[in-house]
Amino acid sequence: MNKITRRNFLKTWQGVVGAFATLATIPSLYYWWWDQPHKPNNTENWIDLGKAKKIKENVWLKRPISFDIQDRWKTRTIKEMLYVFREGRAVTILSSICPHAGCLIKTENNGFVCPCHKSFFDNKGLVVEGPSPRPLDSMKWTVKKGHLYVKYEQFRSGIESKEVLG
Amino acid sequence: MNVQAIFKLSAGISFLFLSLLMISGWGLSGGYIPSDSEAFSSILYLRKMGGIGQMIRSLHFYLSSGLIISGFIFLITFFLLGYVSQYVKQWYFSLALYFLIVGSCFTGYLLPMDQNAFWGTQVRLGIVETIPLLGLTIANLLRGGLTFGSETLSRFFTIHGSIIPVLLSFTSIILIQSQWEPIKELLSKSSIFFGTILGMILIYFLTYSISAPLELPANPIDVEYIPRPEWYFLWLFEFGKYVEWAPWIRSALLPLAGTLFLFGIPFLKQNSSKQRYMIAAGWCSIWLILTGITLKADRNLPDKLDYEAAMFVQADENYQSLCYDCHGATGKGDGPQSKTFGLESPDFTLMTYWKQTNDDQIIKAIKDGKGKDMPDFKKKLTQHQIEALLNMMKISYHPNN
Repeated sequence: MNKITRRNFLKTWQGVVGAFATLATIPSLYYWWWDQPHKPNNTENWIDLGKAKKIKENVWLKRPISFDIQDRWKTRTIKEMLYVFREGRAVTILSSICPHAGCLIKTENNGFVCPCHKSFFDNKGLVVEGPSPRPLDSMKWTVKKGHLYVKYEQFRSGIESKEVLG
Repeated sequence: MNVQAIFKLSAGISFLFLSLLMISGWGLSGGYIPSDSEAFSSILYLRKMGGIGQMIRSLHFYLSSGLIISGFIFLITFFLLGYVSQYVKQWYFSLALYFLIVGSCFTGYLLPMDQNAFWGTQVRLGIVETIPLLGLTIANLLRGGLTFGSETLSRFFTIHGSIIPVLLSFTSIILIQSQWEPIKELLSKSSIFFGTILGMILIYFLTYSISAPLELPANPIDVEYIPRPEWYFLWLFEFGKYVEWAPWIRSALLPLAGTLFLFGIPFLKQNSSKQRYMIAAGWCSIWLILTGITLKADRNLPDKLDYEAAMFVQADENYQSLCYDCHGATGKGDGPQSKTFGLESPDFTLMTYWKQTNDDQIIKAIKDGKGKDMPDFKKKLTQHQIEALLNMMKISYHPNN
């Protein structure tokens, strides 16, 4: 029979603590993984942007939108910014989230710029210069009874293809 | 002063900073609520109350930068002295400590939930997402979902306030307990005791007189805000610009190569003291150059305004867009609408106005309207904005100012 020396005892003790810590970590980590709403802050509803004819023509306009989502136990109001451009019956709606790293873009010199990593876009949202892997993301829209509606979606940043989150 | 002395001093200072950070963290967490609706308000309350709470926050804020510096000096002198191959275990535990400290900075950054915190974290999570294969999983685990949600702050708070401190404590206890001559020598000196006490008094004094910054609350639709990383991450930010075509170089390859190099040093061929100095000097100059380039490129950016200053600017803008028509540009009550329609609007530049009305009455008038001419603004302005407006009126129009 092995004698219980101080060294032996400490080694066994370390092993027990180590095994215990590992076993206890697994469920905790799994809980963090499991407790995720595997969908982004999007809404299924079409959001009303007001009377289509009242939107000023041939200029990029900032339109803040807000909608409620159910995030676990509570209802959260999500606010997002959109850029809207109208030319007669044609409308372009762009997300203000930069496709590169997710900063917000702003208008500059008849185009857009992301202040974080200096991606420049022209006034159609196409990349002129900088690290952005794809053009600015456009949104689906429709006009019903004179009102402009937008389908708000978020796309994964940092990749070339326009992939809806979720 | 020789390298040996700097090494010992930086070890002592790092341990002092680390323990002060942990203890000030306990103090802070007593008055902090990690929820997206209340986090900012709790920090703002602490700031407005001033005194000891504000001091603890400043201590926590500035010491985290201090620890990044002192820990770096400790690691680099460790390397320069050629101790790495001699004390492999201690080197590994020191590296682990440093990585934990950086992780702590990463997660602690979000907690105040001001503009800087929110946008800085958004960008960093965006960078994490570019790690091949694992990136999205890691980012989602940290965030608790695909986008910023109810649990993001709780998770960052748990990592910052519980997981990392526990690991830090274990690691530093093992490091101190390991039979290590330089540290043992350091702890046995009586001068260290007096040095610590003196250092703490100095730190308390400094942090009492300068306060940690706090910007406006996080606004996810503020397209005018320009996020910038902490000074010690600027080099990585600058490096990222050169590898824009492959973001994974910055987010995965560079950190992996750096970590492997640091942990591999003990296995490298024994190099001479001169070579070690060359490596260290090379690394430091790369760091300085990259940081310098970013600082130079960013020097034209507008200054980041602290909460009070930013609220003042906002109040001024609100006055121009909401109040100007009646109350006029100089607060005399001579705006274009007042003149045309002969509305009742008081002159803020007269002492009689300020004698007749108190703060509560003015706040109530802005909130609920007054008489037949003053409309209510409770839907357009928050309580904080109304208070800022009153403050702005006092500074700009009060006859005593």
